[in-house]
Amino acid sequence: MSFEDSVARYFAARLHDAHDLQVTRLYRIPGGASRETWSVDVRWLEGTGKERKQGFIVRRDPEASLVDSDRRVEFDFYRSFADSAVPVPRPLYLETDPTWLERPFFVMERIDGCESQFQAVLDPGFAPHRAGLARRMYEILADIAATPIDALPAAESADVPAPDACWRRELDYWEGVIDKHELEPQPIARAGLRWLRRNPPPPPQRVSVVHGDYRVGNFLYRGEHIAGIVDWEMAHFGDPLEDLAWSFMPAWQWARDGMAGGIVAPDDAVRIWEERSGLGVDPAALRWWSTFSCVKAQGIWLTGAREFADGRAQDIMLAFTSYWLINAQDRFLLQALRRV
Amino acid sequence: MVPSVPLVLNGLARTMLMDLLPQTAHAYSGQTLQLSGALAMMCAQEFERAAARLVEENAALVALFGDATAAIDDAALREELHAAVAAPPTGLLVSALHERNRVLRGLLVRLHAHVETVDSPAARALDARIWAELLESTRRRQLDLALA
Repeated sequence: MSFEDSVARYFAARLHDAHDLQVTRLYRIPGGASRETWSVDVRWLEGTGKERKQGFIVRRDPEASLVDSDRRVEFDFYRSFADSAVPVPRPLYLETDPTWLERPFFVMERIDGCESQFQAVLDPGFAPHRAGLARRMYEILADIAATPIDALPAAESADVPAPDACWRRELDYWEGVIDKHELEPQPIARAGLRWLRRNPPPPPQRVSVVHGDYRVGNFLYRGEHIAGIVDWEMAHFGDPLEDLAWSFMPAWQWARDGMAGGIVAPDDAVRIWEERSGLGVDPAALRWWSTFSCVKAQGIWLTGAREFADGRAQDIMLAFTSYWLINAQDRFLLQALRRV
Repeated sequence: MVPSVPLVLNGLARTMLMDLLPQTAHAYSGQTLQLSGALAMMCAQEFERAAARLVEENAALVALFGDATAAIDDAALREELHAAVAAPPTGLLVSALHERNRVLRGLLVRLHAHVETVDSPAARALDARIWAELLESTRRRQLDLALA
């Protein structure tokens, strides 16, 4: 059975009172190296004979990826923000049964008419929208940080650390990733890890939802409007400064001009975030999380290199990130450590 | 004589990026072509320089280790440094140079961690030299994505 036939069989079984269901378009969306992302157009007849059409997104587990993450946790973070001030695509179904599409997956409503690629913000024609888009980006991040966590669906599937354990938990995890996946010794990453352990940050003012990969490229936008925050596969509870620092990382300064995501100076982003969230940014803590971000990113690139080298994945993106980003990330880490 | 490996890889990159990519309407296929073309360009650069950069870096690390022993009070580590300095040269196969580099960079990690725990002028000087070598190592590995 072809993948398209399998998708049609799944939706025919899953959608209520659906007859004569057809998949009219199915294509893979680029990016998203942690899961395969498929766009699906479905047409069917209801029991009354009325024709229905809808677009869906299917996020299927890959054979191997840059990030080893739990799809249930990701799905629950989408559920946590459905119908809230933080825009997300509506999550619909989580399927762990591999008989449908060979691997587990989940389904979301598709948001149409938006851009997601970071390249578009660099287009000179987009320049008038950059400041407005940046404001919305950091207002939404502030809303994520300010959201009370106790009643969120994600609190059922993800651990909530004590404030003073946030930094250590993340650092332990990503050091473990580097231990497991490095193909050769990483003297710069190891120096970064030692610095991080010698200089721990203060506890956060509050434990918050941390998206884990918050940056230009991981939301759907149209002009200055953000319609959906996506790619929650590294979401967890922790210090909200982690997201802020991650969004500033040089790897996402696409134009290499110091502008985070190509759209905003970090100081301006901090001001928007502080005003909206009511939280303060301790410069020493932000520096710690910025340095940590470089180590975490290196853990991601090393994971991709390992998966490709060991033959568990053939995705050319993994080879590309190995060649292009591992050495660049070492240089960014040297900058964060003030060694350049 | 046949066309060199960098010439062939850059030709592949040019074909993918300038001939095939503009004809591709599908976003996923387009991205894959773009990444493949860029990867071919980087592989061309790495093929050309790999042996030179590994020989240079391995020699720099051996020289650093040779000068480091005076600042090291850990007998076992000092012995490892002596052994690394005294090791016979490898052949010039990239795989052999790379294996030697892997051993030397692993020893550099241990040396750096040790030096950071020692408070002496010699240790601080060695620490500064290690940081300089780490910075230089990123320069040796730098690649660019300009189509040759």
